[in-house]
Amino acid sequence: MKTLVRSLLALILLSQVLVSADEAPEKLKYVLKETRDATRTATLKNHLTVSKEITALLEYQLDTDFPRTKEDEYYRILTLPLPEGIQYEPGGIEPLKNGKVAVCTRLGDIWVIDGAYGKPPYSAKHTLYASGLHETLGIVSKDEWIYVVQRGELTRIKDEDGDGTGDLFETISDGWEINGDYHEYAFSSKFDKNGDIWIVLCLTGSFSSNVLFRGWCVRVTPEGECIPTTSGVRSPGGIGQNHLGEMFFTDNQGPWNGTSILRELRPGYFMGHPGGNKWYDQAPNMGPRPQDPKSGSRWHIEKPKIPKLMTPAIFFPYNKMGKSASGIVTDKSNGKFGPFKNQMFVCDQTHSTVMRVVLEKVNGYYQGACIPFRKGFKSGNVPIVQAPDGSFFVGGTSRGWGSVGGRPYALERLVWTGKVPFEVHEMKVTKDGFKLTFTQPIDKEAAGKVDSYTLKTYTYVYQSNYGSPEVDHSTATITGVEVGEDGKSVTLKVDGRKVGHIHELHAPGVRSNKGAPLLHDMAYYTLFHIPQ
Amino acid sequence: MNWNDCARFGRFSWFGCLALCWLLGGYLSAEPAVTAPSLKKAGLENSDLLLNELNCVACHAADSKYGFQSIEKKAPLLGEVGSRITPQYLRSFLMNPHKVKPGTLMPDLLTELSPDQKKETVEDLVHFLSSLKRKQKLPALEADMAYIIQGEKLFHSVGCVACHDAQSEKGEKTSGGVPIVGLAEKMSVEYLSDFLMNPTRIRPSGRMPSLNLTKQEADAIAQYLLRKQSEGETKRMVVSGVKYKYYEFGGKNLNSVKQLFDMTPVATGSAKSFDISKRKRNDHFGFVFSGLIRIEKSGKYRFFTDSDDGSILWIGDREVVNNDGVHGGREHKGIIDLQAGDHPIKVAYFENAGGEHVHVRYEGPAISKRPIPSDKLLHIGLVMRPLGFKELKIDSQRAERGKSHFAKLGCASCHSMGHGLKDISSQVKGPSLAVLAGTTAEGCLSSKTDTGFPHYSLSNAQRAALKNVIKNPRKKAPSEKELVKRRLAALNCFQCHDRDGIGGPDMKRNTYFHPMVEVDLGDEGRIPPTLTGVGDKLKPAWFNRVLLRKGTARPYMATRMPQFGEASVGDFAEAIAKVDVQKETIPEGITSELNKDGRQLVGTKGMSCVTCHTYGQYKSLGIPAVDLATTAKRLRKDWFFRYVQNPQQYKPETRMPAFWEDGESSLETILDGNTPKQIDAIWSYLAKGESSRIPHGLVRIGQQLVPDDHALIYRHFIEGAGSRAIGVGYPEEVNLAWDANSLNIAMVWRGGFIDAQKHRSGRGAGFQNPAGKDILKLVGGVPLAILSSPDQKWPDGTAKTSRMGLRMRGYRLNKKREPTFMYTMGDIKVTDFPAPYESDVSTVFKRQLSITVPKKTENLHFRLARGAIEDLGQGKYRVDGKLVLNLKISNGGKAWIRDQGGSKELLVSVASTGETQIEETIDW
Repeated sequence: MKTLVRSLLALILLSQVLVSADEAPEKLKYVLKETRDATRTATLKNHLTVSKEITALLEYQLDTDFPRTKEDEYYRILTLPLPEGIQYEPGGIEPLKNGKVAVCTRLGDIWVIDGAYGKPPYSAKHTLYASGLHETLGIVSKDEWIYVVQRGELTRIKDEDGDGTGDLFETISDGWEINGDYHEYAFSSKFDKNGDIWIVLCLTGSFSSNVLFRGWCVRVTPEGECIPTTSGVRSPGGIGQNHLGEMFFTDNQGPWNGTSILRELRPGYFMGHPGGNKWYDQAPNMGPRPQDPKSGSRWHIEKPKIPKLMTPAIFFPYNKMGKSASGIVTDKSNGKFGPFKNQMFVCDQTHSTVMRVVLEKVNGYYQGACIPFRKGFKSGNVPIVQAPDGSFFVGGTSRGWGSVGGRPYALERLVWTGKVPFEVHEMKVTKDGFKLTFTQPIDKEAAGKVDSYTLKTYTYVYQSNYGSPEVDHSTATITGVEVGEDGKSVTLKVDGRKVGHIHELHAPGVRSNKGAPLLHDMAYYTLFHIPQ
Repeated sequence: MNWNDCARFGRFSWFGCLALCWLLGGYLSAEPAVTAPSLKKAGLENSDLLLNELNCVACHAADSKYGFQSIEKKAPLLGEVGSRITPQYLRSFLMNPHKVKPGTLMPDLLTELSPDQKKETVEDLVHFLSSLKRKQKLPALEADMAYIIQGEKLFHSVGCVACHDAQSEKGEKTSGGVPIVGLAEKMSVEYLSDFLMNPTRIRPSGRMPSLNLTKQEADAIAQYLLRKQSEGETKRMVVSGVKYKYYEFGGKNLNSVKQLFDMTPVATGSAKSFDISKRKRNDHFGFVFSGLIRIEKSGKYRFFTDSDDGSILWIGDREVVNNDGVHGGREHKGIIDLQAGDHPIKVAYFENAGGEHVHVRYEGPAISKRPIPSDKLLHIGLVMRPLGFKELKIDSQRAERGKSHFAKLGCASCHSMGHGLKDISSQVKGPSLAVLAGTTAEGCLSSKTDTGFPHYSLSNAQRAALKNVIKNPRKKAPSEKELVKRRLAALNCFQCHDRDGIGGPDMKRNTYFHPMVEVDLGDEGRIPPTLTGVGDKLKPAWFNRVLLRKGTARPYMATRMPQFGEASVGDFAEAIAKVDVQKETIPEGITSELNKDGRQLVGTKGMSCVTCHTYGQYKSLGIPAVDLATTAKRLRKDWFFRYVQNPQQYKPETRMPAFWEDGESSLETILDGNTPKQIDAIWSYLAKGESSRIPHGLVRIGQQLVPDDHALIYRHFIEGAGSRAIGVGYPEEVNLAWDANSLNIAMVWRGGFIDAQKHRSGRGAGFQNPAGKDILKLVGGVPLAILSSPDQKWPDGTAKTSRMGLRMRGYRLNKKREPTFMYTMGDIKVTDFPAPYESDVSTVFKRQLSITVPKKTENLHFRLARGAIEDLGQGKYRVDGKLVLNLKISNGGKAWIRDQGGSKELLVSVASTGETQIEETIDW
């Protein structure tokens, strides 16, 4: 069979010469599609029976040679085959030391995958390790234990008799409660530097907290102590750390969340939804209960009144960047995933995307920009994790909440092709504007023009009602552009920046020194703090 | 007079001006006429529309020069006013309309009369108006606190607060609404309710629309709005329905319904008919209903009762239907001769256990077999009456004089009689508008009250606007777009909807828009949809259905789309379509009958629209977004094509994702990812409505979990075992659910294990019942406690709330994957291993409990049962006649029974140190 595959590949390589990827851009897709189809037909002409494996290899090679989208050229999505007839809805993913990957699902199964790293991963084999757990949405391993969070407890599992399935299920902590409402999800983190696992607990519904610590973040120590850590959580979609090990979570649009928000989970702080604040008397380590925010206000107006209010690090502008922010991962591969070292990546369940987040700490608080990164996943992305080889595993589910990807569930891997896209690398706030760096050298003339950019600002209402429209629109004026000496950055001087607002930047005029436009020419900076 | 006038007093002093203002306070504080609140939203409150809202043309003829489009506004029809409105309210209102009802559009027509003359004239008018009675008097309604509570809820949710101000202390305070004043003095419940059911019957111009209330809802809102009357005068009157006494008998069973008569009722009240819905439990209860039955025609009557369990029906002293005893649903009948008139009727009914119902029907001369209608059942009840109500004896001479005033004063210019009565022709004819334009006299537009002209309570801006339109009528009709806006404003559509940036509920009113239940649709689930481009979106036929025939696409929204009546909105759908419809954009050459692909795209193998959208009678897999099966009936195809490619452009806050963002399909596998073809395929599929095959993935087939060769664990919300249930199904076809909150076996059952479908579809909401049979709840609660005395109450609550240091530790699976549960209490360790065991006759559970006490601990007890416990000897116990436990206890532990709160408990005293083992066989 190897010979056959090789001959197929040879044919494909030959046909690749026929079309170069630099054809007219708007036609490109269709031209490629035709060529791709023609190549497929030509390649398979003399083979009457084609196995699943060969089809997978061929499609992989075709995708390599004829990327379907611009994004495909730089980061490829590989979809793993899943066991037939199994409702396989990933809730958490953990690459194991032995080269296998463990996945926990919404159905409460834990699967261990052999062959998940195949390119393409057609030979991935799934073995059931445990089942019947209560909607597991977080998984991590240590020594011979697998830790998962269930709705009502943090559990660790061990295969004592070595038959490949878990036998011992230990309750590490059940220091919070559940009432029986489907909203009462629990998402758990990987271990932090102290060996603690952090858990964000959704409210009982959108508005209230009927039982202990719904709407809170707690952390569980290796000894099983459950420490109330922050209040103010509404409906999380994921939890993860930055490269320094500080914990963040995403909260979904709804009451007190005008849009989806990324926030730092700083111990002792209030994340913004007062629905669960009645539990302060059960959390003496948290100090006194903060005053409730005023509905209809804005975050930057409430913050001085409520010192423990954690300001949003990122507003994901509704619909522009997604509708339901979820899993969080940081690229700690030191270059194995491309040029975005130490940056954060956040999934969106509705839009089936992975977004990129560039954070900086200003006046003691994190804030920064979110930038589109990759769309086209097959289902509604929730968990995301980085494997030792730098690639990401992304799990998707569309059950209960629809997604653009449309498939009921999927497990995919996002792999860097080795090519560096022309992107905004970082967007940072300066004393009088913003500084942009790019992933490639820029055309200094194009990047130096004020007209190459547009900037507008707006925010959302901080209110007890569900969601919010965009409000308080204003235009911030770019009064000057200074191109950096490194030839890879610009500094924008801006009049009329607004604290508490998203600053929506478009850079349609910027070109690389090879004349290419930005792969994604927009960035959304959430500004709460201006450096002095 | 206004502040500008003050400023014209040359060297004016603030003091002088303030003093003047105080003197003239009567004018300055005059409330502006309350027109439709939406006029303000649309910036039209001081516009030429006032000419119409105030119906000036009723007296002042408008020639062609004033021929701009108007929305005809008519005054209330008065043909039944004598039944609807009390004489005392009419009297005070006519004496001083602007004071009694601030903002009323009705002018004071009696400005030229001396106080005495005015009083006389008003009295004549009151006699005349009070003589205008409704042909058939409405039956009185019994006062009911439950109605008042329901009415409060309805008033603040169905949409009343969109235009009126909130009446309750509980919510946000609103302002600027159409005032509701003096109702308690003005009307009785039955007439207000009748008005709410069909407001255009009295007020034909639809400014007060119908909110599609049922009779019961209208009764409730009426009782709520008139709640002040319940604190005032109430009167015993014959009202419809029956009285009831409600009984409960815990634990024991009755043999005959007559046993109820020896008991004391736990509640009494009244009901529309023989209705048992006010029961407080489903077993061991009874009702005795009594009242009168109205027989219209003498003759033979048959009565039927169908009840579970027994019932008896009496007419007078005669037992007509005996359906007594313990039985399932069955019908018995009886015959009786009845004379026309009212006869006492009594029905007694009881229920022991199981299903429960009672249906009472009758047939007789010209009456086919049917339930006895509520209005044929009567009883004496308390009725709320208007405050200060005194029956007016109509003086026919006064009434006759009143009628002539009605014509001479000009009341008749605006008010028709309606209800089949002949209108009175007005004898007032003012100068035409064209003539008024040429004069400088202010007439009705004067701010003074004693001019002899009709006096309107208007703001200066309103007066100026009217003067302006009379002098400078529009040269041409407003644009069609403007006309649409004017109509939306006049009918108050902007109170709920926005269109082109105008309207939508204000911040305070916003809080009164709710979803029916929390559905996670965000604002789309509670705020009425935008009307921007609505004529482009909706097919006129559907639009008309919404406007005129109660059509609705959003059953999850508590606020209702009102009905304004044909006269106000009959041609509106066409008018709005003319303004809104956009150029066709569907690419040419796309015609498909690709039903199959469409079905796939809509279902879970495609774009999975059914994740959020319902499809006809099938619920979606998630939130209940708008029904897809009605798509083609409601929407224009061209709009649909554009909308699905960019939902946000049409509804900025929608949760609907763009599946064809920038025209690119997110799904390449169907129809080659060709966007127009895919959308067209979906359209053609949906166009077939419910007649086509339902989308993939919508029909839920059960997902029975079947333990084959090893035990299965199912941790989820299980009914009867709590939010942290651990269900265990064994291949031996016995099952149990262990409750991780209380650390105990919550229940056992035989046969099927559990159906996982509920939790594996949609969002997985709710508790799942066990699948099998012989479901038996065990003792539950925490299993272990230290009792400092033998009669100390067993602790309530869960492991955590009982605060004894109990902690869940997990479980270990053996080779058959049967769990051994583990928990601790301080340093005491417990393992609990239940497993199937084949006894001589059936499969039972044998449970091995091990309690290890490392440090001496006295008075430690394990509880095994609660209820009626019989000691059968040799370690055997029977619980509640059903469950049989068989115990073997090691380490000197002892089982004993104690009385606790009228019940018995089976406890094991655990040895104070070492390991105690309890083997418990559970047979049921």
